[in-house]
Amino acid sequence: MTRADLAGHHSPEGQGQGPLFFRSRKWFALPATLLLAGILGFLVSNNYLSQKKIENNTLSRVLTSLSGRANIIAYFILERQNDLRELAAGSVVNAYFTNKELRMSETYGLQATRNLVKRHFQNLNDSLRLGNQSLFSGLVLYSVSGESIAALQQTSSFSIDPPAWQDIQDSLSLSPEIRRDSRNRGYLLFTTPVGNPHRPVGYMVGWLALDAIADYFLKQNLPAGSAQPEDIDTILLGSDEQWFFLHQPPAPHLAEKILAQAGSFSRQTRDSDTRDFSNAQLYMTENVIDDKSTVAFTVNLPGRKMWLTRIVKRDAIVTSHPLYHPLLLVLLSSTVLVFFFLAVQFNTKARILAVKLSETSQRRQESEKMNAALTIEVQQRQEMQTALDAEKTRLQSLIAAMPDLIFFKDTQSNYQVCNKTFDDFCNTSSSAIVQKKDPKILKKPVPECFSEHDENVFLEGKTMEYEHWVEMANHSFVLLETKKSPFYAPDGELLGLIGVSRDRTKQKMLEIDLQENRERLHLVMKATNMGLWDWNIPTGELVINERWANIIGHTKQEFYPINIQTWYDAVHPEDKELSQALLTKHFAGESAYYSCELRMRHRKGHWVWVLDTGQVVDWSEDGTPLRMSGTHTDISERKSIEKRLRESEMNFRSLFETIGDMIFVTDSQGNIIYSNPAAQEKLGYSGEEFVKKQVVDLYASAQRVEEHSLLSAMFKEERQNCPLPLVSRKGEVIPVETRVWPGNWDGAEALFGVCKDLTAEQEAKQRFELLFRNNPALMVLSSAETRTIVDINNVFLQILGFASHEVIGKTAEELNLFAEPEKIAVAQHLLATDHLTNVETRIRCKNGELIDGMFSGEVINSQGSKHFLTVMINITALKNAERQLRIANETLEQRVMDRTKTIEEMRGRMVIQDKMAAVGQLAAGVAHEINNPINFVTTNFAVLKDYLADMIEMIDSYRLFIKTQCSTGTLNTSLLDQENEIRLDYIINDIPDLFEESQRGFTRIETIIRSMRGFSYVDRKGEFVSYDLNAGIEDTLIITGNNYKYTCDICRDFGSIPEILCQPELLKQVFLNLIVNSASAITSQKREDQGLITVRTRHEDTQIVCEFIDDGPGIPLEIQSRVFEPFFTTKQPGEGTGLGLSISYDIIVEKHKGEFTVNCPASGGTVFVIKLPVQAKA
Amino acid sequence: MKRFTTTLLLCITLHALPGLAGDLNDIKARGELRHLGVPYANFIDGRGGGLDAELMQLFAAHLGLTYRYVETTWTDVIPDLLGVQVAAENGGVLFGDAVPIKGDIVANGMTILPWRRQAVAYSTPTFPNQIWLLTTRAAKLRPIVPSGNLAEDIGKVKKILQGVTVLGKKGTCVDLSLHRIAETGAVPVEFSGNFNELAPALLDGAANAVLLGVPDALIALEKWPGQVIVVGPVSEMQSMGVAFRPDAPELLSAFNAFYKTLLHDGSYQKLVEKYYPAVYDHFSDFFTQ
Repeated sequence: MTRADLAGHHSPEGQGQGPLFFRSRKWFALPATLLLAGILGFLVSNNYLSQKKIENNTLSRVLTSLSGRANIIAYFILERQNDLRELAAGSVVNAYFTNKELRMSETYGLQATRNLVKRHFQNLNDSLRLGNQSLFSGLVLYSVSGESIAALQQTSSFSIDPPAWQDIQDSLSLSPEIRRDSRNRGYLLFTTPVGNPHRPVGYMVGWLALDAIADYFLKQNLPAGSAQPEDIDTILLGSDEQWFFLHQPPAPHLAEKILAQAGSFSRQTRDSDTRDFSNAQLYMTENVIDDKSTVAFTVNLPGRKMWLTRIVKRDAIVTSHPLYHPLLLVLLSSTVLVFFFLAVQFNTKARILAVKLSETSQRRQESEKMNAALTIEVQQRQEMQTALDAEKTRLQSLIAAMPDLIFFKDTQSNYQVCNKTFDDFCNTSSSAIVQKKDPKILKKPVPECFSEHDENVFLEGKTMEYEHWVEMANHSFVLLETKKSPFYAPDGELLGLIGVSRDRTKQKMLEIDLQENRERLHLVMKATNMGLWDWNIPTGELVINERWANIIGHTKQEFYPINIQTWYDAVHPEDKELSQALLTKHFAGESAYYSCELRMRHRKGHWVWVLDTGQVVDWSEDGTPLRMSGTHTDISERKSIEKRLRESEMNFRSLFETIGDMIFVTDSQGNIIYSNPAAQEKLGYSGEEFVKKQVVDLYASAQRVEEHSLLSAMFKEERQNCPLPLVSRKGEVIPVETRVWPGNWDGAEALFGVCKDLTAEQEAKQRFELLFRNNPALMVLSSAETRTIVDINNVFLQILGFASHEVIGKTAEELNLFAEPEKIAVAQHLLATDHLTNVETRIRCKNGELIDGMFSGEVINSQGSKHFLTVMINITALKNAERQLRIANETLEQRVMDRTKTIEEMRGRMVIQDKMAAVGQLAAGVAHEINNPINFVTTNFAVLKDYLADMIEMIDSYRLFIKTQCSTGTLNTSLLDQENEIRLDYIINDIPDLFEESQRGFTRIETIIRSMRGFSYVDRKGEFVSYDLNAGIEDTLIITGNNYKYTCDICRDFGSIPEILCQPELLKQVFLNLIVNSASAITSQKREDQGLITVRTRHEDTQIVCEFIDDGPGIPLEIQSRVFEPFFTTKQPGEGTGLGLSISYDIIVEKHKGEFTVNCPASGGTVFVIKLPVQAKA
Repeated sequence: MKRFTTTLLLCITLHALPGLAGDLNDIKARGELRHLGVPYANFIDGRGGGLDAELMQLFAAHLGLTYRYVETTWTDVIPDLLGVQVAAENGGVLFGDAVPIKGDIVANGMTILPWRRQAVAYSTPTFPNQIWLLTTRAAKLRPIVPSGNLAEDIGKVKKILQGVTVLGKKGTCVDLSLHRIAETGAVPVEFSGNFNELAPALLDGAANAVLLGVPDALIALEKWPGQVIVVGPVSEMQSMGVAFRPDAPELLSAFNAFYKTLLHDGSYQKLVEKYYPAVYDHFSDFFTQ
């Protein structure tokens, strides 16, 4: 229809219809347009929200991926820390310090130990690899003083300058820590103390280049990098202070900005309560760099103050999707066309009508045509409207049927429209929600953030997404993921917001479950230490994890490329057939899964037992297995245990077969299911016969009721033993002690009974009882532990006087049994350590009487505990006899000694007597020989005296004559001269004196000779004669004159004493001894004056007292009592025999029954007193 | 003169048994190289492995011969090679009765000792050795302080042995009489067990100390870290070598030439690294020279 056509149809007739018609069409177009615009707006916003959802999902995936890597890295760090700790706790490392402490020299030994540590490092790095890199970039063992004991530095592209001791001292307790080396490369520093953490002897230090971690953990499945310098997609690892690019560092100027802000990412996310993701450890921040399209994901490394951050251009990961809804496309295109048509139509109509108004009269006919055309057009539009209504209805149905909650709020956050899902969710109706806010709709208190979210959407003017738990009326909680988008009028006026909420509760729960399952699986894998494998059966390709390879001593890399043949080659030849058979069975569907215990060759050559389990997880349509997954578990230890178990079983079987005790195994019903040979031999049944019996059949019929109750109690584990005897096939009663334990036999519950044959024990017990009770010796049984008396025999009670109840349960100490406790303590110790034999001690009876006992003892085991069995023999009578014998022996010995002494004295006296006899004989001989010449000399001398008197008379006559003659001159005077010369007068005068003096000499010689004769034994007859002691003393003084006459004066103070009966020669010997001793003592003083010896006699009653007193030096008091002992002398050797006074004592006391004493008065000197009875002869 | 006499005697003895012995041509004619060995340290493990076992296997392959390992004992190893009983006596060697010859070559870490030199012909030294005195933590012996002078260090060790029980094994490089242990005032304890069991016997309390070659000592330090302690040396530096019959000079020359090639191409060093990684810590000069 052209403008001309339209103009031609305008007619004046039509002028009146034209505006009405036009108005009616305009009235229809406006609401239709509005409706279409509304629907279109709704669909556009819905499409926008869908796009946002896709974006968020994408972001979430990126973040989850980063989180996974963070977890892996954190776990890796933890493992390395554990490696270092194990290294530090290892014997080799500690041995170095031990050897050093023991001063093992560097040259001889310590260097070897040091190198052992170094090789230990190397072994660790060789056995555990990080890809094709060493596990640690470096390891150092430091002493506490910082001395590097052993170091291992790996050289690779990831080498790190070794940290100096002074640089790590502050980090010893912060391990692990991110550090920067001198070349600005980042590394992880691990430290751990060696030895006692509180007093370490050294430190293990290890480090690992961050580049190596990035190379291993981050190089896969990440963008290859940006093509443009301004592009950013990088990953950083860091702590608060240190950040490093792990992957794809951006252009330097961007890198500086990122590093400058990196620290704030972690802090912001930690400090902020706003978390875009429910997982508390995942953070996302947008617009971190100048460019607003940049997104930063920050993830915490669990358990570490380290953060992994990925910064990426939003466009790089979130791509805009074209409008994708086909219905929307159709509707949109239709709407555009309609709008375009209507717009053109209205515009044209408006202008045409304006012209028509001025030309109405000329266009009537054309207007008819025009009306017809318009009618057609209206019809078309009505059809279109109908179609639009239908579409609207479908859309409304679609919206109503959508599972998401869709609502529209005005700018006051009042609900205006919602779909049915929303109604159902809130249990309300669409009409009821109008002009209401959240609290009234949800009928529960709602978080304030709901309204804040609305305000944020209005404020920001962009779509925002939230996730919140909402409490429902039934108190359940629902997690709603809500996207709210501002809704604008065409003129840009904000009308409200459109919200779409989705119930994510189930999904969330599934995620939580999934996460838990993952963690659980991870823990299980870690705990079971299983190797994983995944087998592409058609291609033979095999995928394994590190542990799979580690089990057989390899690393995963060593097997690349790996296929099923790799596994097959490692399997033990003997196990291949079994494995193949099991696999075939599983592939054929005959088994639910494949499980085979097989051996695989270890790298070192030995075989490792592996439990190989798996299941086909993918089948082809024709039932051919395509893919199979499974695990390897190292069961070498279990196999070893099984082997030991089998050996143990064999051992136990041998034990059962050879043990002398009877062993039964019964089921829970008491049926015997096993008996050992000992049981069969002693009870006379075969193994098969036992199996047919119940255990109660083995007891006497009279005791079966009792046995039944006992067995019931044992089955219930209420008791463990049974005292009843067994009865053999022959009817013999066998006393036994039966102990029972519950257990399992062939997988079923069973009771194990061990019957110990007590026949021998009971006989022994009876014998012991008889021996104990009837033993004539005292017997005591006491506890070795408490020392209390457990049992005693009758003899014990009879002899000690106790009653049984007074003794049992008490100790010997409590009973005060032992009189010599110190002796018993030693005995008890002996008894406790070994045994006791014949220990004598004294026992106290109840009445206090002491008896002598001889103890023996042994430690015996009685009723499962140790006891002392003590036997005491009463040896009181024996000991008494022994004491008496000892006294008798002592008396006898004393008597022998006395007798010996007497004999010795007698022998001494006899010697002296012999000596004196010899002296006496000599004296008698000498006296006799002298006496004869003296006699005739004396006689001749008397004659000569007479003759001389005559001659002197003659000489006087001659002299007178001569003198006369000379005076007369008859004779010359020569004779007179000669007389004068020889002094003849003097001679003549002196001769009488000489004779007188000679006479006295002769007299004295006679006296001496007489005394000698009297003193000698010549006259001695051994008889007592009446004798005058004064005379005897005088004789003695005469004889001993030479001993004292130059040194002593003698004072004779003789009293009037009668003669007494005595042996004079013996008494004179006594007198002689006393006088000589006194003279000798005085002489020994070498004094200038004369000493004095006083001899005094007197008569006192019936005895004569003779005192010999000298003023010599006296006798010291301490030896006065010994002066009468034989051979006791104070004289120099050779000067005295020591027998004088001894013999004198014997003479006075023994021979004459007198007394003989000595005393030394204080004034000095010595007084010997002899008292002799007047009638001494018995 | 004494050595000449013993060598002469040995030659006479060996020539008296021409049918049983043999040099390279005889061995090649037989087609088999019989390796006499005693399981000892990492030289021979008795299961086909060990430094000397591998060395001999390589040598046999080099000669184009079949390799056969003949296990013997420290007492019989030289008689089995020579075909005559031998005994060390006052630094010399005495020859006794004839016995069957069981092998062609001895390689089991056998130290080159003067008395052994009088009986067998040694190859170029293949391994360094020194005898150390080891003790345990429980014993009262403590390591010496090295002076830098080996002779002085040996003197220091021997000076502290008064009353100490020392374990050794007769006829080996740790023969107590060889090192004059009795003259130090120590109490010699003759070990009757396996040579490899010396260190375990020490730990088991058989004596206060034990003599061990450095290879053994290094193994002991690794096996029982922190339990065995090196007191110090009791001998000068020694060497180990492969032993041959004196009447097999061609076999000896062939081995020396072969050994030289192994040293040149580094194969021998790799073998040593495999079995005695620690030996380079102490005797690195031996292998570089």
